[in-house]
Amino acid sequence: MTRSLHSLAALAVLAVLAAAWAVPARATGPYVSGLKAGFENQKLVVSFGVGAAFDREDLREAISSTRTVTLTFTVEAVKHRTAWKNKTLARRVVQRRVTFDNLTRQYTVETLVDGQQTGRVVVGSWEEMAAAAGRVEGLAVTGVADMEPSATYSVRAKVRLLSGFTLWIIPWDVETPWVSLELNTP
Amino acid sequence: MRRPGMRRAWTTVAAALGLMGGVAGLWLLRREVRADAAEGGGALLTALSLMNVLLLLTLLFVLFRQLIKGFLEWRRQREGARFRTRLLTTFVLLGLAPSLLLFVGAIQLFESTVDRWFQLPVHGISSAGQRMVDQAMDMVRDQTYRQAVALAAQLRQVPEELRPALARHLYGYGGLDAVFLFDRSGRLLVGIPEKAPGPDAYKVAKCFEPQGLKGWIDLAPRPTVLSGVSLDSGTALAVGAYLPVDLFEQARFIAENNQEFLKARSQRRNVEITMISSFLALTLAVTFAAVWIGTRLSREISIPLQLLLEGTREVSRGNLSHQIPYEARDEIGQVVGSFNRMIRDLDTSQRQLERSNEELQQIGASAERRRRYIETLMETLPIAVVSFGSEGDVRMVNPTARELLGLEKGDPPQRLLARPEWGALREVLSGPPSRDVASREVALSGRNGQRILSVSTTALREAEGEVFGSLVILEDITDLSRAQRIAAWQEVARRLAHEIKNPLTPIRLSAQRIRKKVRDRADDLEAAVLDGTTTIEREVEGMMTMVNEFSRFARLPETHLKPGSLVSLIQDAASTYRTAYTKVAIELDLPAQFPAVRFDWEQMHRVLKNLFENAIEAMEMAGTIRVSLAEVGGTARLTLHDTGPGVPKEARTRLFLPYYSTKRKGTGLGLAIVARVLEEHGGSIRVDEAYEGGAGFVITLPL
Repeated sequence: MTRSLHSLAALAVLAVLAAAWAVPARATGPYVSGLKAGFENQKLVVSFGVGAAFDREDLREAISSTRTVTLTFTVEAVKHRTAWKNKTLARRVVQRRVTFDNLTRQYTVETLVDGQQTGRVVVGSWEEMAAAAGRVEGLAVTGVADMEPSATYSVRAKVRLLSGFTLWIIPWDVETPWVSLELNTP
Repeated sequence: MRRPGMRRAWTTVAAALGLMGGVAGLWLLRREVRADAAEGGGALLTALSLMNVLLLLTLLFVLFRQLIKGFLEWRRQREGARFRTRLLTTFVLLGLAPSLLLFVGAIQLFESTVDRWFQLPVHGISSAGQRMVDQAMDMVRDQTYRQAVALAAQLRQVPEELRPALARHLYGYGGLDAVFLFDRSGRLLVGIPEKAPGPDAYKVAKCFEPQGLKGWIDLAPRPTVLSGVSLDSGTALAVGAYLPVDLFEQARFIAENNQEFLKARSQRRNVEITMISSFLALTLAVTFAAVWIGTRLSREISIPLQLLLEGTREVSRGNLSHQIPYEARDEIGQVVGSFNRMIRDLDTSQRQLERSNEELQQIGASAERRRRYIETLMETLPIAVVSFGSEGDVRMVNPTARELLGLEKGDPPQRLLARPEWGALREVLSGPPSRDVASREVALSGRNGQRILSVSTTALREAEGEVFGSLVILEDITDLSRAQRIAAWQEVARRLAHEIKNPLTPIRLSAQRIRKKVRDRADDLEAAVLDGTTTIEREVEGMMTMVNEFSRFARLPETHLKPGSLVSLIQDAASTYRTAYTKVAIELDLPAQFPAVRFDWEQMHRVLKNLFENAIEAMEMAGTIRVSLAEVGGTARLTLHDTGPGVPKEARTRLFLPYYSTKRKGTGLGLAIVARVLEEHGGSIRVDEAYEGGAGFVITLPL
């Protein structure tokens, strides 16, 4: 039984390596842009956007098909720990749900923070929609009180755009790689 | 080895999980296919992909494992490995080939169906409809925008405080449905109709942009097209026109249908992949099932086969206690059961054989002990013993016999019969071994002078009566014979003295009477002389007769053996006495065909005459004599029975000695002469002990 499990594990590792090899290179893919982090009003505030996203044909086609497309902005505050796994202090997820109305030619952008809707705007052009949906500004990730003073933290962020496929049939998210920056608590 | 119960439990659990997974997959498929069109959900795809990957990995693992296992078993020359691999390969191919064909066919069919869904005419109609809606909406937008620009131009020409009044005035003449005059903060300076909500911040901002707000469509509270431009840096104008209801409904219908088409079109790849994944999952599941069933079936078939092979190998090694641990109700189980029963029966038979062998060994050991005992007995026995086989071949000669017969140590026993000096004995020994007990005396002249041997022959018979040889006991009775002969001669002398003495008395008395008559010159002298001489003459004649008989016994004529018919001899002798003695019945029991016998006719006739006369005399001239002839064990057996008083038991042992007689006037030489004649013929005579109706004699002659 143990030998079987070992064999199965080895096969799984091989499959994962093959899948990773088959994943398309992301050199020209979307990226996190303008990641900024600071402390405002005793809170860790993060702003960042996504680049090379709204000129993608697949995103344009998805939004133009009047499907609701959700852009997911994820940001984490991570505490480095030596010789140990880093500790995720806080994690916030901002979703931008974009829906195009082909009758009125208006884009509705809804904002959900950690699953709760916090805003909704309706704009009349692609650029305005990209500006409204493509950036998160002043997102309070966590309170300073929850952080160690004079400590170094990492803020890392990524943005998920669409669902794609790898190995022809396996679902694979189109997303940016994690981008992080370090900052010290006051 | 895993217990069968555990294996069945695992199989049941796996089957239940597979069934549940299948049901869940169908439910997801049914739910997600509808949801995908609206939201493009990926739960189904994720589930299918996960299932596919797991199935693929499991299938690969199982196939790889079976491949490695089969290869190793083939390398180790395991029984049933080739058959198992072949069966598994067949099942995999049988499962994989149709599944792949179905998979490819279904994908092709689905692709063509999807292509028909999104073929160009449908797309063209949908796009054309959408363009018509866009153009209609653009016309409305352009119209309201032009009205907004024109109204704004008029308002710019009047002072700022008159603009609200002018705006209300122009509202009435321009055919507008709404007019809003507002500043940068969105505060309404004029709002017509009164209760209509003014532009929101976005629209206000857009109105102050250089190109203004062009044809913004609000659907609530009723579909309205709103356009606006700025009058100056602080004031802007927006005008609205209600969309015609029919136009709006048509446009909305076309737009919504186009939305569905566009959504479906954008989901095409998802749907295709979903279906491909579904078909792939089914294909993998079928292949996996084929592999599983093939593995299971090959195991179910090959394991009992392997057990049977191992069983036969164990049996060939002699392990008959081996039993195949396999139970099933199918035909294979019946074969295994029959094999086990056969081995048990073989085991039982072998045990019986071993027991029989042990018994045989015990019997053999016992026989060996008995043989050694007999051999030792023969070695130490002071009596000479020679045994013959059924063919007359010498089997055994004990040391006493060797010494007696002058055989050197190491001489083969067969030499015994080849030595010329033992011719007389050879005649006895080489005779048929099946003869009954017989004994005779044989005089041999050898290196140590003449010896007299008592030769007793006994037929050796099986329990069923079959003769398998004979035993000959030789006894040197030279001294005994000499003693008996001396005794016999003493008896002869005594009898002769007695017989001679008996007539001497009447002779002496006659002589004395004659002498007295002479001396007395008696008157009857003449009569006395005549009487006395007659007596003397009679007695002397009796003495002469006795002497003649003695001489005849001592000087028997030489025997001339010629082949002849005993039947004729008996019939000839019998006819003589039938005529002479009418009161004596002579019954003959003679075979129609009887082999010729070498005998001397005159002497054998004399033998029969003697026996007939003895019988007639014993029966006092009246009675029955029965004569029979038969071939018994290679000899001619002649039996003579009479109805007389018989031979007393005390006289039977001495009956054939000379001068022994049970008759008052017998000489005692008749039966002695008979016995001697038969000895000269190589035969014998004895009293028939079994006959009780009178006297019985058995004569045996060699054939």
